[in-house]
Amino acid sequence: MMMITENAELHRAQRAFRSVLDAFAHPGALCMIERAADNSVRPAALDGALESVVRLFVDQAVTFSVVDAEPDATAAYLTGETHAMRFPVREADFVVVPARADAQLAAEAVLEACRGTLVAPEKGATVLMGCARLAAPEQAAAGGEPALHVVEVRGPGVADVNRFAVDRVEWARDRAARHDEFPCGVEIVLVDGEGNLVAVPRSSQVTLAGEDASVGEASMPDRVAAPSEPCLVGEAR
Amino acid sequence: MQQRYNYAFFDEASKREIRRALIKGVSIPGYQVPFASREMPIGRGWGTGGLQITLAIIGRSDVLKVIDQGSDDSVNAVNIKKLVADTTDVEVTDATEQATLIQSRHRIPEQPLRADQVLVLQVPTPEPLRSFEPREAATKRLHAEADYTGAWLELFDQIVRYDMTTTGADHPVLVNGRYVMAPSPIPRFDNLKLHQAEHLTLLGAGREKKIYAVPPHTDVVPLDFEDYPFAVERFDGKRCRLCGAEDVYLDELVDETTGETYYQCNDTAFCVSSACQPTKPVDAAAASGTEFCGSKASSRAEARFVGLSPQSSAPEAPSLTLRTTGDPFFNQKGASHAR
Repeated sequence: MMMITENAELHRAQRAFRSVLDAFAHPGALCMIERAADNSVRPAALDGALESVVRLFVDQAVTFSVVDAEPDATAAYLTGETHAMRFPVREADFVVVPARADAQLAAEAVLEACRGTLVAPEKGATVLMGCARLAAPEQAAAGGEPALHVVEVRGPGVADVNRFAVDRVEWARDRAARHDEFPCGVEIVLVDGEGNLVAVPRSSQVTLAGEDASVGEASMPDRVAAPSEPCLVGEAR
Repeated sequence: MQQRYNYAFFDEASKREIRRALIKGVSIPGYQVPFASREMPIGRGWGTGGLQITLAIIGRSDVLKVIDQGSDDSVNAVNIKKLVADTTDVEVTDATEQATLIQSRHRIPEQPLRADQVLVLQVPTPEPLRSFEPREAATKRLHAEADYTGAWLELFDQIVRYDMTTTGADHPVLVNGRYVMAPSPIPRFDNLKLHQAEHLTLLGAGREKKIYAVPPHTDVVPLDFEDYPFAVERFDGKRCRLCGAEDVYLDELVDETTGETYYQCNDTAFCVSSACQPTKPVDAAAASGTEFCGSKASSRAEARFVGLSPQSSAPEAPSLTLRTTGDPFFNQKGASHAR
């Protein structure tokens, strides 16, 4: 059997996927992915790290949307590279928000992304959001540009609380403002130009450190409990 | 003619499809994500779901372990291991602690898994409500509405008939307080290993085209009733004939020449590892004077196949298959809408 092994792109994608899988299994934990190789035709809005995440998932089987002041060049590039169809934000499987997109555009992306249905929650979109800086929470106090906000994440995958620091936080407020009923919701992947990456799945509760109110309390329906009336058992016996 | 294969057998588009499903599965713990299951060079029902997950995530730095009913050396495990190794050149191991990726059928290793290890479970029937409701569209709706009457009824029916729940394996669990999930046919003994675990568990059903997951640190609670609490298989007073281990899942075996019943660790790697040290003298091993923990691994592995499957070796589980909807006096249509 002959195996095709000398394909650097294939192995880079595998390592990147394991990092992203690890990030989803440990929401709010800082992970690292390798950036896609430099490419002279890549549009300015897209950096190597964000492109790397996009290419992990986006292909001809799914749809995507780019939310940016000037999205056309990025969208055309991604269509050419991945053969995926470009769709409006509300209908896209993957919503790409370049780091340069302003707070209002990022808000639009997070608010409008598809939430899926109770029968098919997996149809909920994945928002791939570029940001200027992602770091460990200690970095927030150390200063530097741009300023960082500390985000706290709780829920499945998190033993107690995971913290990370990021320059943009509008996504957290908008995510809370969606009021999705679990299991509906969206996944958010934050990635900076260096390849630092954090995943926030819909199952996570998100809080901004220093703010009293939780901004991302996932609205869980009442827990499914055992029938509280054990007398049925008694009768049947 | 030589056939050229991509690394890890799959083309990259197939890997992306499985990876997308995995991410949604981890994000919605316990929910069965439909995916475009691929044709595999092994028959459906022989671990194609687990194999597809393994191939979609494996890379050069992985160390792979494959087990089948606790054994590294059974036919299913050996052949899956061979296929993955032939198409990836990854290192394979029997030692649980050395593996980064563990594909398993019917068991979770005795050795607690770490955060840097991924467990892949092969799933024959991912739908915990299937015996109650045969229509996929209907079970999807029941999950959407968190209507788990069927799962409760099945257990209730067992209690009515046998005064206990008789799920020998695949006892349904509630994941993250939301989805009732089939944990794959692991014995009840292993169900609690999924609760607040350190490791990520990925479950794949190739024939049924479903992928689901249990992230680390997630609540996994077996369904039970207040007056009939969940109980795992017990092996009171029994220990492994070879290594003397207690508090592990044991296979019940019968010596065909003497007719004597004896017990052995079901997890072969655990039995030969240093993790399993006898604390008391082992009667059988001492008597034969030849076998101790850490030795004779190969002969032990051979001996193991005369044993029973984990389900049938569960001492308290009668070998009965209960099908609630199959009862002639049970109104199926009414039952599927029962509240």
